[in-house]
Amino acid sequence: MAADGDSMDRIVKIKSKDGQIFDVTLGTIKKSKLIMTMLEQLGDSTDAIPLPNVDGSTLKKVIEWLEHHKEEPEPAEEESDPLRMRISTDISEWDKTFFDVEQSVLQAYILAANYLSIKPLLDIGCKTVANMIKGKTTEQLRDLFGLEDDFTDEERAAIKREYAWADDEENQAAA
Amino acid sequence: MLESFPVEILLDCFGYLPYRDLLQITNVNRRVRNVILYERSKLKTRCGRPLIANVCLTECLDCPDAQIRNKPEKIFTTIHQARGRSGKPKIKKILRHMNECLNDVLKMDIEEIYRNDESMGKLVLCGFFGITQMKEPVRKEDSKNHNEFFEKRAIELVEELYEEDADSASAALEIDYEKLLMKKDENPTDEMIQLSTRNTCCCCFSPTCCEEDREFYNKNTMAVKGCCSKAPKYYDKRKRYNTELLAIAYKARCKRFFSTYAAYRLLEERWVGGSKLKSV
Repeated sequence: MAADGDSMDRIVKIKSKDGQIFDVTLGTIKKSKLIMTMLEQLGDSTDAIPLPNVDGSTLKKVIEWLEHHKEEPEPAEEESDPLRMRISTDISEWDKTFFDVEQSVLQAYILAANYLSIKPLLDIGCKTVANMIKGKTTEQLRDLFGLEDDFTDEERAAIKREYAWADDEENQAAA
Repeated sequence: MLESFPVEILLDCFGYLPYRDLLQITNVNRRVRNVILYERSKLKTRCGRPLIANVCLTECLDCPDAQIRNKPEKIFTTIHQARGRSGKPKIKKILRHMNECLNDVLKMDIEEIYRNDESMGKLVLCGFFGITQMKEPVRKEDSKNHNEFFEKRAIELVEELYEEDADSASAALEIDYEKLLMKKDENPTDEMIQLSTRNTCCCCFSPTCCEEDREFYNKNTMAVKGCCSKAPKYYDKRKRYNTELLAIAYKARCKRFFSTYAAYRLLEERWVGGSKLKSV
């Protein structure tokens, strides 16, 4: 499918899990590889594209994010330097505000980005999660994410032995 | 939230974490731990490297990635400069952890090697760091560059060792080379003893090389000739390199030169043949 010129103004209908239908331009939705692939397969059909894994409220926010970022160029397919430092702090203020939501909503955004195959959105979501993890202890992380410590006593002792070097006071102080 | 994420997303999130944070999240529960441990060859930490020893070291020492990249020797400067609050060097603790990583990847007991022969420990680690920086496509597609890398690096290391300890090296010139080699307890492992003792093939370093046309490294004449066709093709291309290195070793008559080179070769062999490293 051509993805330039007037075709970018073409209206595409997408349908959420709960039956809500959204009209979006091709220029807005083009960052979703899933939808672009489906459009190629559907040809000239004007039927709404069903997205059974994304609810209406999440899809609305995803469209809002796509609208805001529609002029930004597509990211390169592969990083040219695999040894590059992966930085999680390069998130714009707009995106920070966008992702400043409850965990359940953040989770929905990330899963939707993954399902719709919108890499830039997924990347920012993952960076946000990484930033939430940074600087916290294992115990704090369990509290933050509501995770249960399901290790047995033996496993716990083994982990303690394994990572004793990391808990060492000297190493902590210098790190 | 984390529980609902598929493995790919978890790995993506964790890929932005420095090593210390990665350690903290690793142990939150069994699923996350399993994901990280089982998928760690796919997991890249924030500096883009797989989750193996060099990453730990980079992060533990809070050393800027750029300082370490392509400069394995910097690691040792960093290690030696790193001090805890009491002023004690941190090297043992770091080595203890690195040992586990190296054991896992290379099946080498780096702590033992380091304890027995610091220079060799250094070389093995340098080799390890150097090797992990090499990319498989480079190795396959441009073996010339790859060989040049090792050749240059190995010679540099030999020269560095000589410069570091010129007195010992000079003294070694007066020492009976054979006797020196027979001090087996000074060598780190049996395998390395085998590799660094006399009458080994100059190409594959094997004392049991069975090629009829082989010409062994001769302990009396120190002649270095021939090339073992048993050795992998990869090594065949490096006959000149082998010869030069052995010549350096002989010239110095220093066990250290010879054995460190053998260690380097061993390391390379592990790398070339080791499926674990290939998967990293």
